[in-house]
Amino acid sequence: MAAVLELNNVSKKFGGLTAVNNVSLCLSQGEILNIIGPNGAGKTTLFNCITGIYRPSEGRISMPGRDVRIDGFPPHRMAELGIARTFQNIRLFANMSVLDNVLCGAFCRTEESILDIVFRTTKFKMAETSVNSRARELLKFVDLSDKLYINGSSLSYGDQRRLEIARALALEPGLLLLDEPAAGMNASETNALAALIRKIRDKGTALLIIEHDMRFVMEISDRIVVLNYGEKISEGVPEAVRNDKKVIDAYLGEGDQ
Amino acid sequence: MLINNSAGKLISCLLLTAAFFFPLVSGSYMLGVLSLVVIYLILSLGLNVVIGFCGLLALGFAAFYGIGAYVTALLNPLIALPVLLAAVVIGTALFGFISGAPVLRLRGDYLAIVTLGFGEITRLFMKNMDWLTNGPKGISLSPPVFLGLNLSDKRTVYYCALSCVSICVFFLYRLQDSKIGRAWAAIREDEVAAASSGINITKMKILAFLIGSVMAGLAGFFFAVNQSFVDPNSFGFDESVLIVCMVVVGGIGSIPGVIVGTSMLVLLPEILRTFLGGFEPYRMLLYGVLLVSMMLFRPQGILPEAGRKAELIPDTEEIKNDEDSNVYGERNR
Repeated sequence: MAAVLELNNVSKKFGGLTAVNNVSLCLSQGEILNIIGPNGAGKTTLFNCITGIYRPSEGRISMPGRDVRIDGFPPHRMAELGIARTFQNIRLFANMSVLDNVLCGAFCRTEESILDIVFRTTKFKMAETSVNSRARELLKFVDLSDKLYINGSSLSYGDQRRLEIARALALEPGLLLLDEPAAGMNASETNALAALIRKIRDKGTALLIIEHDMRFVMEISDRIVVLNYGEKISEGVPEAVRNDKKVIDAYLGEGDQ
Repeated sequence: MLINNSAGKLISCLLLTAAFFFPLVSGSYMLGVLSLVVIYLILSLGLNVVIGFCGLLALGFAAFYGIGAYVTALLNPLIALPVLLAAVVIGTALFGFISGAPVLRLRGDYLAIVTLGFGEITRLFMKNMDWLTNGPKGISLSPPVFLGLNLSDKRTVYYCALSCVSICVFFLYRLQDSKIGRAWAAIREDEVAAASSGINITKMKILAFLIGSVMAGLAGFFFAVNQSFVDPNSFGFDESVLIVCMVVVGGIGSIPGVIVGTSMLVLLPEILRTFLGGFEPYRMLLYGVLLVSMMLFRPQGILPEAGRKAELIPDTEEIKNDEDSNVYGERNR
C-alpha cells in the first residue's frame, strides 16, 4: 500500500518543554492508525503539527504519494493537500446550518472566482450544484440528512461529532485525523462511530485517530502507536502493544522489580 | 423578529425603491438629508462586510471615507469623471491593502486598536500635510460634469449615489450567497476550524477589508461631490463610531438591518432637530444612549440575520483558546 504520510524525527518544543520528541511514523492508504498515551503525552500536539496549526521545531513531515515536504505549511495548505481533521473539543461553525457547515468544508474543492460569483456564470452554478449534492450525500453518509437546516449548535453531542466528520470529509481527504472521536459517547454511539470509521476507511482514506476508549481502539485499529512524555515508546498491531511491558508501565506506573 | 434571507431581500428592495421615490415629494432640505442617508448607506454596507460578514472589528473606517473624499477633491480638477472614479477605487483599495495586510493577522481587540490608530493617523495627515491637503482649511471643489451628467445638481448626485447603493446591495447579496460568504461566516465563527477546512483566512479577510474600503472610498467620492468641500473634521473618530453604530443598531451582518439602522441614525437627529430646538449639542449623547439600550435590550439589532444569535457567549474552553493563540502567535514567529 502506498504511504500517504510520513513523519521523520518530528519534535515540537515550547520553550523548555519538549511536547513531542523525535517521533517518526508512517501511514499507508486505507490504514487505521491509533495514537494512544497518557494525558499530556503530546498526542494533540502531534496532530497540530501534522495539520499546520503548529510548526514542528525539528524533523520533517512529508506526503510520499505527492512527493512534497509539508512541515511548516499553514493549515489551509494542509487541507488543500487532503489532510482533514476534527477537534478534541468540537469546533463547528455553531451559528451556521448543518448543510452550510459541510459546504464550508468543500471551500477549496471548487474553483469559481469572485467574478463568477458576482455575475452568476455557468461555472458558478455548476460548482454550487455539485458541491450541494456532494454535501447532501455526505450528510446522508453520516446519517444527518434529516437535519440539513438546523444550526450546528442545536445538534446533540453525537450528531455534532458526526457533522464535524462530514465537514472534514467534504475536503475529499486522503488522510483524516480524528481527535478523540468517541469521547463522551455511550456504547451504542461508539459502535456506530466504529462502523462509520470503517466505511470511511473502505473508501481508501487513511485515518489517524487519538482515542482513550481502549475497547474501541483495540477493535478498529490496524496499528497502534503509543506516546509517553512526547516520545514513541511502542508501535505495532493491537495485540503486541497490549502486551508490551513499556506500555503497561507508562499507564500503570513501574512496579518494584 | 428574525427574518429569513428572502424576506430580507424583499425588505431591502422595498426600502431602496422607497428611497427612489422620496425626492419626488420632498423639498431641497429633505433632499440634503436623504443624500446623507444614501452616502452613509454606502459606508455602513461596506463596514458591514468587514464587521458583519467577516467578524473583524475595524474602528478606523472613516479613514477610507476620508481618503476617497480627498482623492476626489485633489484629482477632480485634473481628470475626467470616469478616470476620477477609477482613481478613487484604486486609491482606497491600495490603502485598504497596505493597512489591512499586516494588521488582519491580529484578532478581536488588537485589530480594533490598530485600525483605530490607523484612522487617527490618516486624519492627522489630512490636518497637517498642508502642501497636499491644505490642512484644516480644507479644499473646495467644483462638482464634475461629464457628458450629460451634471453632478452640481443635488438631485443627480442623490440618484447616482442611490444607484451605487443598489448595485452594492445586489452584489453583496450575491457574495453572501456563495462560497465566499460562507467562508467569511466560517471565519467569524471559528478561525482555526475555518483554516483547517481549507479556507485561506488571510486572503478572505483581506478581500472583505478591500471591499469595505472601496465602498468607503465611493462614499467619500459622493460626500465630496455633494458638499463641494472636504476638510479633516468630517473624517474623525466620531464618524468611525457613528458608522459602527449604524451597523450594530440595524443588526450586524444583516443587509436590510443595516439599511434600517443607517436611515434611523441619520434621520432621527434631523427629526428631533425639527421638533426640539437646540437639540444639536446632544446628538452624540443620543447615539450613546441608543447604543447602550440596544446592547441591553436587543443586542442582535433591529432586523437581525436569520440563524444568527447574539454572539456574546463567553468562550472559556482552554484548549480552544490555546490553539487560537497558537495559530497566530506561533506561526508568525
